[in-house]
Amino acid sequence: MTGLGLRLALAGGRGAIIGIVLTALAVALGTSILLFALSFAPALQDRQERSAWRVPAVLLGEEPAGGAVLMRVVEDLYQGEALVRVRMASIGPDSPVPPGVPRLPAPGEAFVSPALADRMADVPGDLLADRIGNVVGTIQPEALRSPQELVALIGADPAELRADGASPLTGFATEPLDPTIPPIMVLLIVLAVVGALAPVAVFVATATRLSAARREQRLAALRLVGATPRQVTGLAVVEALLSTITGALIGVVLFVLLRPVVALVPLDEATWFPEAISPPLVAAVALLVAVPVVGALAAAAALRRIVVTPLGVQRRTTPPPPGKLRLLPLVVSVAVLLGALAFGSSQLSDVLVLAVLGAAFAGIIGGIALAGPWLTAIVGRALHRAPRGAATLLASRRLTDDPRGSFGSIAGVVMAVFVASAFFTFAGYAGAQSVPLPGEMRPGHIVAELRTATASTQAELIDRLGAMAGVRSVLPESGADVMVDGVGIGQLLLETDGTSAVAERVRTAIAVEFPSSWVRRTEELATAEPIYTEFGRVVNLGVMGTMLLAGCSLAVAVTTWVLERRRQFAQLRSAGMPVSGLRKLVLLQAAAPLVCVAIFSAALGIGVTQAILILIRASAVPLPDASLALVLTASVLGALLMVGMMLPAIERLTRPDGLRME
Amino acid sequence: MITAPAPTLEAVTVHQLDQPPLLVGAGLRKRFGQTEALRGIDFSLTPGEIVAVMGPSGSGKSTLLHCLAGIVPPDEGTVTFEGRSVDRLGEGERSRLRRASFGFVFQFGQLVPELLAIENVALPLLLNGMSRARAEEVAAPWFPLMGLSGLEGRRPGEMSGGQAQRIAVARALVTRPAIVFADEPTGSLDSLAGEGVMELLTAAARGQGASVVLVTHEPRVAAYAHREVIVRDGRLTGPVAS
Repeated sequence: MTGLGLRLALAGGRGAIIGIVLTALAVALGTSILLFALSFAPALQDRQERSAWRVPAVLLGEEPAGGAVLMRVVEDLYQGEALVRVRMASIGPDSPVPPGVPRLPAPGEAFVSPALADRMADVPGDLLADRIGNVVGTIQPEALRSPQELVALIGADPAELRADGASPLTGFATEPLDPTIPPIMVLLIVLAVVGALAPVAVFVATATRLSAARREQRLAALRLVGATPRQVTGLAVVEALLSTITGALIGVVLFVLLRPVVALVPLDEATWFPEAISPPLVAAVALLVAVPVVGALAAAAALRRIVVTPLGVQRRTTPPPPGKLRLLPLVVSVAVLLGALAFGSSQLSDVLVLAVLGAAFAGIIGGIALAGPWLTAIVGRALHRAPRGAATLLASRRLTDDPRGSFGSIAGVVMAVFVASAFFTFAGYAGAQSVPLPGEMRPGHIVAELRTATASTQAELIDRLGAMAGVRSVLPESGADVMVDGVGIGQLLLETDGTSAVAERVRTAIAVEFPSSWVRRTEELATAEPIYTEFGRVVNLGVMGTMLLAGCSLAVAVTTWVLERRRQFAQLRSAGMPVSGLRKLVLLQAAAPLVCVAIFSAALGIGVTQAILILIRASAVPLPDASLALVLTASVLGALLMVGMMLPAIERLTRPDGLRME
Repeated sequence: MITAPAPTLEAVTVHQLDQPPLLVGAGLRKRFGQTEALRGIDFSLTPGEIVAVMGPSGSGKSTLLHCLAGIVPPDEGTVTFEGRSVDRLGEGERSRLRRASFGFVFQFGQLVPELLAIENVALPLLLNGMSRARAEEVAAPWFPLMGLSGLEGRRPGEMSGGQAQRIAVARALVTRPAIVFADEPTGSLDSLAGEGVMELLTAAARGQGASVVLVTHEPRVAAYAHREVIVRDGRLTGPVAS
């Protein structure tokens, strides 16, 4: 039977092959998204393990008898990028050596990350290299958060570090700290994966329908000559396995190919090592088994009608219209989501809470898929009440008689609209996370906190900075006599010409004198928390991808629908209906439910997200701005354009020769 | 395993009215939604007999054929084949019965478009578990018999309507069924092609000693039967002597 199933699947002509290829591609997309989702936690863990050594976790209050190191980590910036300068000094024999370097650097020496070495080679020393010292080697990847991270391990004098308040360490931490990603971001990532998978699932369903009519005819013919339900199901399962196994394998290839690209997407100000983006083996194998199994089960379920009777295809009856009960899963899912947040918003890092929230979000998307036909039937009835011609009448009848099929065509776009609305609302919240500027800061200003400063060294520095080109004024905000934890802290406010070169020279000059100082430009203080900015960027990319996929689904669905009905259309034409009428019919029956259900979906997306944010933040959040309206309008118009691209072909597809019986 | 003596158009049996009936439908009723398609029909078929079921469109003649063939179970009444109650069999058992003992020729749509002509004829044998090579070996002699020599490698879409129907006739008979059910087998053909198909169908059925239930609304087609029955509004309005 396997051979016959494969033969039937592969010998079905161009349409069947396109159906298999599209299904395989859609499955591949879904598989790769899931593989990336499975890889997220291990990648995060890997990143934290690589940078664990910089956290002074093994602290000793007293001077150790054996070897130890003194360490001070300075979070500096270069051209807006984070630059970590780890100052370290050996005390006593057998001092521990951090990972990624062969030995501790002597005072004045430094090991640097490859990315930092590249930057240093590109610019004059007074912009960057002078902050680092004499480079004697490269820090290996095992000690870096990301391939692009700028890190320097700088050898320092023990006395200087003691004066800076550093305590001795007898070893380096290997266990990662708690995640630095805010729990709300983890929640968003869970929801994003669910949201991204929904249009993929619709695309799979649409691609499967591409040659469904022919497949149903073939399987019904087989039933007629005596194939048992089990044999027919077996043939359909073989066909489904062909596309899903191929898709799952392509998904693995896609995952491997896209991994270096995905590794470039920053999260928490760091890109990723491609090899670190790897799913746990057991989970990956389970996924690769599950994808074809689910595909096969779906194929078997889709055949119920044919399996029950060999005449299932011939004897079509109008099914009862969808009832209001279809709204129930949607309502229940929203209630579960909000309920889980109301009771578990303080435990967003809890896996169970996240799982419930993810499942509820998936439930809402599934709920839209269930409620969609009910809404489509309402749109059809409304259209029927005001018929303006044959096309409107036919479109309204089609919407009321087959609301499931009609909604199936637009389901991808509608779900994408929900996902886009939800995530734009989140992005609006993210945009509101900017740090307010201190009152006196203006563009071109630089603020500096000088550690271990004294009145005289601070005065000397002010003179030197004042003489630098591009620096207009240097004002001490507070004297160096201010002591914090036994360390003198002085504050300066510089007015410059605003160029980044001057800012980096100032930073370098300060770092040379006071290596542990903190220096920031106005724009660096005014930037939104990077993780939220990154999120906004990812949302834009994700929404574009989702809409593209949904648009493809719609185009495939409409094409399939027209192809399946070319005979009826040819009959309508021969009965006198103009081609323009047929085009209007196709457009109307896609556009009417699309616009109405998309509005419902957008309102639901915004409403649910507002509720989530209010529950998490316990305060009102800004409504999404005009960009959402723009994106949604563009999405719906884009989707209709996809339908529009199909319209010219209607003339050719519905020529009277389509009236031939066989 | 199905044995496969060479197919022939020579009559090996002649139907005998004195034999016990091969297939009996008693008190058959079937409803589709609001429509009562069959309203209590009694029908019987003896071995080797060819019966034409006639009637206007929508009279229920196709539904009667579907019930007799075990495709659709009746709501009321019984169908007995060789003493076995067909309507009480499960879906799987009815499928196996159709595969082993019945053959089908419909108006159109019964060939699998993806398969070659010879594969379509061999299909019931493949479903019975016969190897592909053996099944095609058994199917091959049907092509010269049906006047289709050289068309073994064509797909249904590459053949004329008459040729496709002859493929369907060969497929219906390749398992040497006891009964062939034919629903408007010439409905989509011109009169010449239709006559060709009917001659081959009835001759091949006779050659195998198979009975035929022939649904048609054309008297010219019904003339190939030993007797005719007429269905009107879901009722048998009377057998008509051939």
